[in-house]
Amino acid sequence: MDFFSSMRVSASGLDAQNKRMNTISSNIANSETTRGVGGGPYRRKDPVLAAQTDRESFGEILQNAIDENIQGVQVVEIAEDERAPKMVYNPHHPDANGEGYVAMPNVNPVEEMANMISAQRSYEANVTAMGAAKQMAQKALEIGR
Amino acid sequence: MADSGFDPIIGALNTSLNLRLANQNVISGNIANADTPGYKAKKVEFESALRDALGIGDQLPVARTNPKHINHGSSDAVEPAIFEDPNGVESLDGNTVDRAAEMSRMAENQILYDAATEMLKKKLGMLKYAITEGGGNH
Amino acid sequence: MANLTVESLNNVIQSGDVSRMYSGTESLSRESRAGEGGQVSGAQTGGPSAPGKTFSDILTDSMGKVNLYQHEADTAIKELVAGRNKNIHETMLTIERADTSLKLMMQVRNKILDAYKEILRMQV
Repeated sequence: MDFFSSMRVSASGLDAQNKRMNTISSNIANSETTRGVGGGPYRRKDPVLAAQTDRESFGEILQNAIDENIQGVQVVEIAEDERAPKMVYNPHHPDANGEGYVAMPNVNPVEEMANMISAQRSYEANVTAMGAAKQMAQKALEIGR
Repeated sequence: MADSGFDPIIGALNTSLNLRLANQNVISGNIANADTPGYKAKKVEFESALRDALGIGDQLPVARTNPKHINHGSSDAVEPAIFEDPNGVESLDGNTVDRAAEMSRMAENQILYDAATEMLKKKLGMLKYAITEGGGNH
Repeated sequence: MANLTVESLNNVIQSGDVSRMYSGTESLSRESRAGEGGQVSGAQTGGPSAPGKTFSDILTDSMGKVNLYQHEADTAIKELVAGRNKNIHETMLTIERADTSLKLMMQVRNKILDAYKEILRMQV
């Protein structure tokens, strides 16, 4: 329990939001991709975040219940969106099916933009939190100065 | 050299400043190589060695019955252990540097360096205060 | 008796070793008490707030505290430096307490010395 666990938690938040931003970029870049990895159209991806107890280094023993409740965040997996692909009528497309429909990715650009703003704000919040922890620690050094 | 004639605490603070400097150099190296393919992030570990040297470690202090024994009471001999981070997650290019974690480690190192200089200043200030019988320009 | 304590205090302080201050004054004040046969007149006691306590006892106690604070500060520094405890504010407060008590002790010592010199200059 110190300022440094707070900073490590913020760092894990930065990392998680960074990964989230990467998946959003991937979704936007592939919003028209009809040939995804493993066949079929690209499927929208979403990071799954999970809380994780802050541990400074391997071999460190948690001191008490408070330490156990200070939790960082981690991307545990990148899940694929199960929504059905959008069917667009375009008979001249090389990937069109027999009826002339093309399966397009299940990506909604508006949704991605909203998620992007959310990721950006969360990233900024983590930067601010880390800066605040750092400033508090530096203020503590000024005790009695 | 650090604690000759001085308080062992001042020697310990001096050693800790040296070790924090070494840590800063390693972290800078990691950040500089954040985009180097195949680079493995390095970590510095010295706190447990310093704990043992200062006699507040987990193991019992070793008696020094001969001057040729390794000096366990002094923090001078503490060397930083630099190793590849075993918990590093490899990205596509084989790089294991986590920028955010390095930044947080750097901030922690910086604050503890500042703390050590501040404490050194206080210790020397108290010494000088006693020497000048409270009359120095303090 | 008070004179003896002041001198012993002065000796210890001039030796520059704060950690030896407590044991130094304790032994010397014990000698001084033995020299007077343990008898202390009413005028030299610490006043109504400390019945039965001599001035030297009070002085020894407070010196012991100053020394204790110094040791506490040293331990706190050790623990912060070696990463056992990373509470910067606790460490800084402990050091600050040691610093302030040392300064107070030095000022009190200077005042006692001034008083002693004043009495020395007194015409009999």
